[in-house]
Amino acid sequence: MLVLAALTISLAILSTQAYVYQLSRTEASAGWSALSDYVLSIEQGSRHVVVASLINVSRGGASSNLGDNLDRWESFVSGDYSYGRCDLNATAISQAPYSDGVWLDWGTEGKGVSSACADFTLNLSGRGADVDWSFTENMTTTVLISGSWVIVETNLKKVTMVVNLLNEAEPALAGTITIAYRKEYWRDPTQLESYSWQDFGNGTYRYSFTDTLPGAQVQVRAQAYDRRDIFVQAEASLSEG
Amino acid sequence: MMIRSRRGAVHTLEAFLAAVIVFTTLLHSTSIPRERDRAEEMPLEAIGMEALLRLDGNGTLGRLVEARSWGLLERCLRAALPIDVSFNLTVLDEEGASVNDQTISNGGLVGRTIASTEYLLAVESSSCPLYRLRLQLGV
Repeated sequence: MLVLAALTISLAILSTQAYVYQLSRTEASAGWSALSDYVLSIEQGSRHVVVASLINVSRGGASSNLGDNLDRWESFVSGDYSYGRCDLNATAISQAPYSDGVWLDWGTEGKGVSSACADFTLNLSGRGADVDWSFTENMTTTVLISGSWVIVETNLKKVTMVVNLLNEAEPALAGTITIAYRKEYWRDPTQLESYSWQDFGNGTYRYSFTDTLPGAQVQVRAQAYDRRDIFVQAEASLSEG
Repeated sequence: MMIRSRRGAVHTLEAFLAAVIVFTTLLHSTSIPRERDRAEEMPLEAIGMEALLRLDGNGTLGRLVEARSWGLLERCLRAALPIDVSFNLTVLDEEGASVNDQTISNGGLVGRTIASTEYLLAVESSSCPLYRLRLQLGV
């Protein structure tokens, strides 16, 4: 009886071990891994194309740039037969607020947006692979301005301005940020002795300066390049706070 | 008295046998690997593709190719690929012309098994250059 129980326990242990081993083999299926990496590489490349186009358009390039780059990428991918016939179909989003897949809104209400969006469909067929994969790439850089000013003396105001940079709605570090304030024309506050700034390391930057500024509102501007080199700018009117 | 003693001996023997069976099973089961070594199972093409995909993930690959930093690219590949894998990388532009003017390799392609994989690269820069990376691997 005891021997029989021992044999049953042994069988259970061995079969569990064999099952776990078999399962790990299935997960490590080489063919599947290579194919999924290939599909991921196409998706990653598509994202790079959208970012590259947004870099170009946000710096003054033609809005048709995204469409042109998508066409180039489509034909480049179609020429690859690593996993059989590969068809990539890319469409720049045209629904409002996008036009030719690009949306640039550099507002005066404290928010600026540079965005590009495209839909992709990838079809792989032949050589044992059959993939039908649709995905959307939306790359958006946003800059937000907030802040206020306090009176130091008559018309002498201490302005504090906070700039937040976002990539795809997540805080992101900036490449460079240039700020300016309006006093008859746009001026560079870094020239002022009172100028100071602070980088919080999480996409938040605080600037402070003091100058003689008439009126109840102080107009400020932030021009930023994110780490991907996408340009975005925004203006804001700061009130006493 | 005799029968009891014999029965006791049988029980002891049975218990001993059961213990031996369980012990042998446990000993044997520890020698079975929990999971297979992925690198052992993976073909060279997949290893190469995974390495290039990782380098491209944060934009490093595109930056190095665009800056023509072949030495740095070679060092990145050395770090990304298994130590026993030899490699040779050729960078081709959109028209298929070779771009790298120096060899990107860890000492030539050697090994009994040779494989090749191609990676399509789009660089995040204003002109959006496209490259085809041909990575040959040997082990």
